[in-house]
Amino acid sequence: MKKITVILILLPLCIFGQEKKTVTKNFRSIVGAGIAGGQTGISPVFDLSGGITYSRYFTGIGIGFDSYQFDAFPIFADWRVGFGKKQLLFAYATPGYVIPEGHNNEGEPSRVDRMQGGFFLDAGMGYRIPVNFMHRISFTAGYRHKSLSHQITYNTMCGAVPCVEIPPTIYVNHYKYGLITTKLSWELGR
Amino acid sequence: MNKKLTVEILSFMLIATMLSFSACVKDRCKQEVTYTYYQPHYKTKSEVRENIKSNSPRQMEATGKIYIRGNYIFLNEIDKGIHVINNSNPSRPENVAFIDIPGNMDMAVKGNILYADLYTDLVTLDITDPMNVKVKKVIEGVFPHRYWGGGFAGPDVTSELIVTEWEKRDTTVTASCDQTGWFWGGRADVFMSAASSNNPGTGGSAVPSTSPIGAGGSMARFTIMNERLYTVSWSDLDVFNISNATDPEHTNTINIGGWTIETIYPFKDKLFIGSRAGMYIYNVTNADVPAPAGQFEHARSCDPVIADDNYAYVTLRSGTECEGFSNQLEIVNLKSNGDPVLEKTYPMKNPHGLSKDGNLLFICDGAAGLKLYDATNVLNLQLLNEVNDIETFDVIAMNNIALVVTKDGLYQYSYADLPGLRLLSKITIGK
Repeated sequence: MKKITVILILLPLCIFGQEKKTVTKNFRSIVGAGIAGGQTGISPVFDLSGGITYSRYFTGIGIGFDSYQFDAFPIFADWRVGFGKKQLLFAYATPGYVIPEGHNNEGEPSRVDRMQGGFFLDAGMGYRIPVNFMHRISFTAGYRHKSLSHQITYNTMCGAVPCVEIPPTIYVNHYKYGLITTKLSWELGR
Repeated sequence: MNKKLTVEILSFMLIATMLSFSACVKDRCKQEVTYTYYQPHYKTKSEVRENIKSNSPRQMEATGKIYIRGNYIFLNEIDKGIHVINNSNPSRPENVAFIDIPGNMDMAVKGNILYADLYTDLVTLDITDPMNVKVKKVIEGVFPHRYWGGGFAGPDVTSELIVTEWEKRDTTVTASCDQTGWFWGGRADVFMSAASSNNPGTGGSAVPSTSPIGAGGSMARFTIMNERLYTVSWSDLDVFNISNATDPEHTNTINIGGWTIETIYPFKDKLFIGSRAGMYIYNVTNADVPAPAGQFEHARSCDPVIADDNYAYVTLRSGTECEGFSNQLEIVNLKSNGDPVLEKTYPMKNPHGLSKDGNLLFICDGAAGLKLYDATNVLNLQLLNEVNDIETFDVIAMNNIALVVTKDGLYQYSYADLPGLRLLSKITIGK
C-alpha cells in the first residue's frame, strides 16, 4: 500500500521531467480527504489517484481508505470530466472494488470470521480552485456506495468424545452502504 | 469566476447532491444463514420399552462410552443404544446385537445386570444372555438434568413421547441482519445440534475381569462399587442401592455443585469425580451417603480421572467446550495431609481418556495417538511406546489387552510383549 502511494505521488514529477511541450496528455495525481456520512454516522475517507488528463477528461486509477462501519480500502478507476472553458466545475465517478481490512479470525476454532469485498462507487460533482498551473484545490460532493460481506462460521466443538460431526453454521451478512461524501483534494499536475 | 459565484456554485452543488442521493443514503444488510438442524422422530414410551431388546446388530456410527463385561464389550451409540460385541476372540470381535435405548449415553454392569440411562430414566436390563436381553425395571425421571442431544433442550418428562431418531436437514435461509442468536427452524422441537453427547464420561483403571463388576472407560458417568450404582450428572451425584440387582432403588442425591461434573471413577472406598474445575474425592464408607474427602482444583479444563493407592492421574485438555487452555497430565498425590497436592505435570497434545494396569499407564492423547508409559516412578514417567496414526478418545487396559476407542474405530492392542503394542483387531466406526 505504501509503495503504491509513493509511486502515485511521485509519478508526475518523473513524467514532467521527460515532458515535451507539445504533448497534450499530462499526468495528474489527486490526493483527497473528507468525510462520508450514512445512516449510522460519519467516518473519514481518504483517496489517492493518479492518471492522465486529456482534453477535458481525466482517467486514472486510485486507492483509498473508507472507515464507515468496516475499515476498507477501495481500489477504483477514476474518471472525471470538466465543464466550461476553464473546466473548474467537473463530474467524477470512481467505480471499483473495495477490499476490507483484514478481519479474519483464524485463531478461535469455534468461530471464524472472514470479510469479503464488493462493489465500490464514488460519484458526484466537484469544483476546482487553481492555485497555480501545477496545483489545484478541489471540493467534491457525491454519493458513495460500498458493498461488503462478513462471513461468520460457527464450528460446533466436541464436548465429549467420541464426537458426532456437526456441520458448521455459516452466517453471511451482505452489507450495502449508501453514503454522502464530501472531500477536499489537492491536484498535482497540469 | 468571482468568489461569490464560486460559493454559490459549490453550495448549489452540495445541496443538489445531498437531495439527489438522500433516498439512497441507507445501511442495508441481508443475512444468509446456512445451517443444519435435526428434526426429532418420536415413539411412545410403551413402543420404546417394547423395543429395548437384543435387536439385529447395527453399523457403529457415533459411539460413546464403553464397558467390558466378561467376553462382551458394550459400546454406546450416542442417544440410540448399545452395541453388543462378542469379544471371546479379541483378534476377531463380532458385533452381535444392538440394544435400542433412545437417549442412552452411559451404562454400568454388575453381574448379569446392565444399568443404562434412557434420557431421564434409569433402565435395568438382564444381560445373562446378551443375545436376548430383558428389561427388568425402569425408574423414571431420576436424571432430571439430562438433555437431549447436544444439550439444547430438555425432554418433557411428563410426555408420553420419546425422541428415537434425529433427521438431519441442511438448509439456507435469508433473513434480516437484525436476527440474533441461533436459528431454530421456527420449531420448538428442532435442534441445531447433532445428537452428540455433552455428557463426558471416562472410565479409569480397569477393574479386574474377575470382578462381577464390569470395567468402564475413564470417561464414565456411571460406576458400580459394591452394592451401589453411582452416577454423576452435571452437578449431582446419585446413589442407587443395587443389593437386589434387578430392583435398584434410588437412595440419595448429593449436590456437588459447579455444573461441570464430567466423570466418576471408583477406587477402593473412594469415588474420584472429575469436573472442569477440579477433582473431587468422596468417601463411601457409608455407601448411601458419600462424604467429601478432598478436592484438587486445577485450571478450567476437561479432565478424566483415574487413581491408584497413592496417586490420581488427571488429564486436562483444551477445547471450546472444555473452556481451558491446558493440555497436560497432572499427577496428584493422594497421601498428603489434607487435600491432594499436585506432584508433577507432563505436557500432552490433547489428552482424553486414560487407563492404568499395574505400572502401565495408557493415555489417549487425541490426534497424537495412544501413549504407553511406565509409571513405576510417577516423577519420571518413561514412554514405552506410542501409536501415532489414530485419533484416540478412551482406553480400557486389562488382561494385556488395551481396548481403544478412536475416531474411526474400536481397536484392540496386545501389550503382552512390552514395550510392543500389537494390533489385534479393529471394528470400524462410521459409514
